[in-house]
Amino acid sequence: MTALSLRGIRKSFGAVEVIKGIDLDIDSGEFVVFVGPSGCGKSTLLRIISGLEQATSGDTVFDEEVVNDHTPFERGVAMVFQSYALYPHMTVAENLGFPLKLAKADPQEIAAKVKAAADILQLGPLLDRKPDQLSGGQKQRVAMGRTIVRSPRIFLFDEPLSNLDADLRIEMRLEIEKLHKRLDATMIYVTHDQVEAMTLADRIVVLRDGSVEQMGPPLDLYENPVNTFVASFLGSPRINFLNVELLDSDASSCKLLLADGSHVTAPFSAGTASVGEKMKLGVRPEDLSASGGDFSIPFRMEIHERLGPTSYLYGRSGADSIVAEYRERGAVTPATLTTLGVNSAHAHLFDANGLSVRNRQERVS
Amino acid sequence: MRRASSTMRRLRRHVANSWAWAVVGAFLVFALFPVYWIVLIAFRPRDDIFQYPAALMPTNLSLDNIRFIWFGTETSEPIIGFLGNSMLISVISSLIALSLGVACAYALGRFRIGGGFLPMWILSQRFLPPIALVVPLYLMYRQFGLLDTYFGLVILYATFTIPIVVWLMMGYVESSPPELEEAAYIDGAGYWTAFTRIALPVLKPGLSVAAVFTFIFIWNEYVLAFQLAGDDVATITVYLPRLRSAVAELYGEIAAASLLSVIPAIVFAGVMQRFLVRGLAFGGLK
Ligand SMILES: Nc1ncnc2c1ncn2[C@@H]1O[C@H](COP(=O)(O)OP(=O)(O)OP(=O)(O)O)[C@@H](O)[C@H]1O
Ligand SMILES: [Mg+2]
Repeated sequence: MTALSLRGIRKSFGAVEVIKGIDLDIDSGEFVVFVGPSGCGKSTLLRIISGLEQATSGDTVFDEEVVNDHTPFERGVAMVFQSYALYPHMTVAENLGFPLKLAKADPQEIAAKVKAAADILQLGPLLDRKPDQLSGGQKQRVAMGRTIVRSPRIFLFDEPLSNLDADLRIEMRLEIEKLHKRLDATMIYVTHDQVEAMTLADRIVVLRDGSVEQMGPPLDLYENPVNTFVASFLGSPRINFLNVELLDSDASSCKLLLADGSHVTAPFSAGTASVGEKMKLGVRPEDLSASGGDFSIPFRMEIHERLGPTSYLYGRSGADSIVAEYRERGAVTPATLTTLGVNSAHAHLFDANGLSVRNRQERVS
Repeated sequence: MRRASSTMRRLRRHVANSWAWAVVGAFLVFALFPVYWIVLIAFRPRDDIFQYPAALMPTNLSLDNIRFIWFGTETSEPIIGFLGNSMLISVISSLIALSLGVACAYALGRFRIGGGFLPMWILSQRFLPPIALVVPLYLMYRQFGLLDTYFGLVILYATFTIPIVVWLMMGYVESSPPELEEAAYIDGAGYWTAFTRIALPVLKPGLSVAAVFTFIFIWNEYVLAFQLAGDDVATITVYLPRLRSAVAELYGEIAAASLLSVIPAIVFAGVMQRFLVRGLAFGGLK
């Protein structure tokens, strides 16, 4: 069932349009992550959904009901802010109980619900403290606790983990995942951390400049990015782009001219791209290997970064900088490594405008 | 006096330089000597006050001056009535100015009501020196029967201090994060509840600063109090100079009255400062 629909949402601040027509349906129980670079309108979109901000045009629909004029409370949303926004003059228990108190619930019910939420998030020993006596992770937990006491229709998270250190981030990420499973709730989560997006999302919505670039399940976006922007946004280390020129193409293969003058034949079609077109070949670090592959590209190694079982090789192929994943344990001598093999099944060819040829093909057909 | 001592404390922390000490010492003597002198002669018997050359150190202790001021005489009423008037007027006007001023500052700072123009216009109300308004105010007050009434002074002082409160509090409103109230809206609060239950408690440190400002401004105000009231409703600032003109040379008595008249202001500022420190401890939002 559709929990939330956005229909043609636009938003301008003065003369500047920051959300440029967004359509989106979110199923109930779905975990949707908005990602995109800073300033692309993620928070604004989330605030429009919450009702804290009014869209300039378009409809926000909750459970088949247009809620454009409803207050955040009437919409039944709960939100975790990047700054946590805990009420500094109230104890943790009062913070958690505040929405219930406003709803004039009786004190016993408030106490019971606060306790239940505190149990889920292990806040029991902190209930009498004030926010300034809590660590970052504890504040984060309290902010989440405040959302669950009310059993909202939709949970909204605006970069909730960005103020935490790396370890705590991972811990809280798992915590949020557990919460989602446990409550079976509809959640919308804003982040610019692609790892959070990949791990948490049922569906990722990639935003750029107030428009949706692509949406879909994390692995779909990872495997089939529609353009270089999406391709480089997901995955760490980033996808490599090799500048190539199309020499020849048929239904099942294409011939590419690499920057160093060598020719390679890749086992996929270049679609509607025309011969002579300047293109970019996108290859993720894990699809490059020291030996094997469907074809090889020249490589000059500069740095070998060992992280344990996997390590990364940094270097250049012609003028393009390249990162390759390396899974063997022994050290690599730069002298012995002059080429990298490409696993072409997962390589992507992008045209001069950055559009994936697969995608272009689909659009044309 | 407060300023001087806090400057000294700060300097001790940062500068261990004897020159700085000499300058600060000289400044302190300069600033505190009149206060010392007031205390000295307030407790000095009449004969010793007119001694020449004057003794710089305490001489004989006498409570005559304090007694004169406290109990009054046939020609002079006891000070307590004037202190009471000042207290009543200062507290009520401050409360009005603070409650209207903070609401106004919140509207201006949070919702940008009136754009950039309205805040400046409000502050401009204070560009004119009060004395410039005395004549029109006098005529208006006479017309409306507000001369020499508590009500007249209260609305006057509230009006005069609101711009200060608005400006001071606007800074606090703008620097406090709007997410707190947004979180409250999401929790089911309306504008009013978010303002009173969330924003106001967060603004407390600012409010106590504003309270000190307005209270002391009103407590010390003389020109308007003298022109628009002064008979039935006389404040402490109107009372003090009267001592001088009624009978000549009541120096010891004036000193005693001055001493008693600053005590409430000091107590008030002290209480507010305690609030202020506690308020700042709240401040750690993140
Ligand atoms: N109240 C506002 N008035 C004017 N412009 C605004 C306002 N709020 C946001 N903007 C602008 O809208 C654009 C989108 O802002 P938004 O906060 O949604 O970005 P974001 O994707 O959340 O970025 P970040 O990752 O940095 O949080 C930005 O260019 C921002 O400057
Ligand atoms: Mg944001």
